[in-house]
Amino acid sequence: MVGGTAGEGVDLPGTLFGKLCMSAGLRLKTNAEFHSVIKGYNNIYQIRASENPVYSHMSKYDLVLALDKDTTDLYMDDVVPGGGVIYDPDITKVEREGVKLFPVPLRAIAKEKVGLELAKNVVGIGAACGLLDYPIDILLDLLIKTFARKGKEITSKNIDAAQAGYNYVRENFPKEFDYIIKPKKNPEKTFMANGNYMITFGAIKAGCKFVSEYPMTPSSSVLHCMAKHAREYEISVNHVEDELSAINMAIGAGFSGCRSMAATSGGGFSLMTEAVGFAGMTEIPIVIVEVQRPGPSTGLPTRSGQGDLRQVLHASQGDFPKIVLSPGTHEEAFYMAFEAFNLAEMYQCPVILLTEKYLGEGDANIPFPDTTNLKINRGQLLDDNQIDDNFLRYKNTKNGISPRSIPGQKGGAHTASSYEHREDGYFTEEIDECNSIHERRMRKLDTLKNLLPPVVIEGKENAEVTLVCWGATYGPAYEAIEWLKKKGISANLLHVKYLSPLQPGINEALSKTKRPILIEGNITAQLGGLIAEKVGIDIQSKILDYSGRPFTPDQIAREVIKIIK
Amino acid sequence: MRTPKDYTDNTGKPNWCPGCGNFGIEAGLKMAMSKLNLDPDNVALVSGIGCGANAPYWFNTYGLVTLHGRPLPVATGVKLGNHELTVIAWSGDGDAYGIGMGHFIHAMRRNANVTYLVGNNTVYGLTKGQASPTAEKGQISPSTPFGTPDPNIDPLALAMSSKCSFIARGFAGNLPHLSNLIAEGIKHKGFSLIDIYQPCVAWDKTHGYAYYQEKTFDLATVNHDVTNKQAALKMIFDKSEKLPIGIFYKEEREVYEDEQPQFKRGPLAHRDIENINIKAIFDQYSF
Ligand SMILES: Cc1ncc(C[n+]2csc(CCOP(=O)(O)OP(=O)(O)O)c2C)c(N)n1
Ligand SMILES: [Mg+2]
Repeated sequence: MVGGTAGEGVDLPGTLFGKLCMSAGLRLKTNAEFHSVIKGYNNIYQIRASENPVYSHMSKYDLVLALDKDTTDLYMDDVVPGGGVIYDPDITKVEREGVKLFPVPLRAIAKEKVGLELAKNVVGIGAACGLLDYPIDILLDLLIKTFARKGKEITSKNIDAAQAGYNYVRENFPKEFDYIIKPKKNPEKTFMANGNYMITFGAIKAGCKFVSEYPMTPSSSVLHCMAKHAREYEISVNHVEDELSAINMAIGAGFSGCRSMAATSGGGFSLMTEAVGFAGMTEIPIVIVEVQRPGPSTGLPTRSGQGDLRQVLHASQGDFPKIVLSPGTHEEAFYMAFEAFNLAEMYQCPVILLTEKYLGEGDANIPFPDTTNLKINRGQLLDDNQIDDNFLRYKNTKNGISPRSIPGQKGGAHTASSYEHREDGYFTEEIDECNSIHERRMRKLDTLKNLLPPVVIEGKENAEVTLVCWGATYGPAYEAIEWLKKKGISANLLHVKYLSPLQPGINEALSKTKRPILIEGNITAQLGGLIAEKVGIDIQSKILDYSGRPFTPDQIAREVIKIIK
Repeated sequence: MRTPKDYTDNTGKPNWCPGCGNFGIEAGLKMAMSKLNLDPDNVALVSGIGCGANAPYWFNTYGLVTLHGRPLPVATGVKLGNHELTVIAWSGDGDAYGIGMGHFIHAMRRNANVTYLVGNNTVYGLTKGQASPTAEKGQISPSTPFGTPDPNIDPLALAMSSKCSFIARGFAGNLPHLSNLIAEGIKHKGFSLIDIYQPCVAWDKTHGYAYYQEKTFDLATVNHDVTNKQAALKMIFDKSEKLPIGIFYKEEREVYEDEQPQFKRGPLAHRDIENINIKAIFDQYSF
């Protein structure tokens, strides 16, 4: 873990350390906890790395790099016995039994070697590299790449800083730390990105050609990533005036025949709400990414939460089909984003990809996803020669899906209207016509329900407890199974990925469990309520955390034990 | 060549009040379309919500009746999705300058190639005559029985300060003039605003056809220099005697979609999206 004061560069040593681990062939996952300010306050950047896939960050640390006093004041109890702390003795004192202390005058070294106190973070990461007995060349190489664009002088200063930190610990604490980073033999090739980037990559692969957004933490990196790759992949990426504009523009692009997307967080989604219904009514495909942070209102902008499930499920007035899906892992974020665009066109309705800051802003490195089975499905989008004289844009069909034309196609002209309308698109208030089209729209999801894969129980059958969760709570819950096993408790896991329509098989799966326990990042157990409503099973045991901090496996294990003991 | 009739959808007839100014705007737009011989299948007419906003039903082009206040973002999305289309947005003054004001200003500075027709009837026609943002201070209406407390918005002045590249005003009762204006607006490369004086026979008895007939004059008759900002501002602000109609200001400047290389190879909506190479991106993040 790297801790420091906002504005002093906590991210840089954090990401550098992540990349170091990656270069050693390790798998990692990160989580950053920071305040909603640009300067001041203590921020931490947590990195967990292992030879095996990592599903969750942790609240206990093997090594802490403390760049400020707050970090040592706040987190010393969270260092594991035998773990270590690198800190600057000129600004803080540390006393803790059973933990190795590595006082390194980070500031003094930075000033002496490069004349810049700010470089203390790079001195620190050099020191960590030395302690962990990892070749400094790799770190220096990373620094060269990181600072390439900032010019030779800055690069060489950073190199000097890292080298100085490295040398200091090699001289003063040779072989004193029990942990080392050992490069893995023949590691699988991986790439590292946060969940928002994974979603963006899935969208690009799906042929998304239009993005309009208004920045909102923690969703902004979707916009940033898209903008960065916009020219390479020929995508129109637009930072527009507000979320009303973002969603409506994306709907306009969807009408034109582009696969289009808007991303936001809960507050921005509130503003988009009216247009979600507009897309539902006009049956224009659109993908909306909602990266949750805790509400209500502005809430905790830089923290994580799962309190928006109900808001997206019920977004906009009236009944209309809407698809809501939520990924559990970085891999799933990529695949589900791809799938979202297919679903939007197949069912001609808004598709909401619901995630949270923990996944959206947390980095992980994963092997290259296999894309051979990713096939574009544009649903009932007609070719020019398939449009005949009797074309009706909103034709009443058995499965509810009407063939679609796009502007420019001969003979496909129609009016898409937010008013209730007939098969030809013309407005109507006739009872039979209104009922018939309303029923047709709602029928669309019947076929989807049969298409969705049923939920699966992961882990041992007949376990004592079944952890029931959604979204990125998957990771900590998955790892909690091992923690519980160590305490002699068998547990398995039910992760719900499709929330509207609700994924099938929940009833069957739950009926096989002994004791289901809901684990959700909100105060009202929103998934629990949904399952009670749709499946008729009201799960009584709940572990709810609405602190804005993502679950950790040890926390879940502790709470489970409390419940069953 | 096409005639205005060639843009008519005969499924139904406009349901505006007899004498409504929207008939003039509808006719002016169809005349402009025929003048330019636009292919109806290559036109998207995007409206908001209001009396005038029902117009797309009666055109045989592609149409979109959106939400109150949102036609501009939707129209911009349609244009960027397929920039080979002719995209026309149609609003009422409540739609454009009330609930949609934010979009109005940003669309002008963005300068995508969209033509914007705004029916300026000083009222919210569809919701029974409440004062709109263009109503002058003191206008009596159901929502302002003692007169609107707020002075009116001046959309053309806002357009000047928002870098709008084509600023014009028409009158729904002067068809030859209006249809020309709309044709010029469609031809203009960039965002074109055409605010249209539009009598509302139901709710605004003071601004009828006779009023505008008498008050308006054509800017083309007074040697107005449409490239001169100062001259344009003077014409916009000076309402003491008569009300000018015509093109106030026009400039050639960068068009949003033309500046971006993404659009060079044809409409984004027509791109082949099978087999996009995403591995290239994974490689970039392999470090
Ligand atoms: C979000 C929202 N708020 C309010 C309305 C109700 N509404 C419909 S049309 C309208 C005003 C229309 O006035 P204007 O845009 O000037 O068009 P006109 O009817 O005068 O042509 C209002 C307030 C609505 N449809 N949606
Ligand atoms: Mg009006």
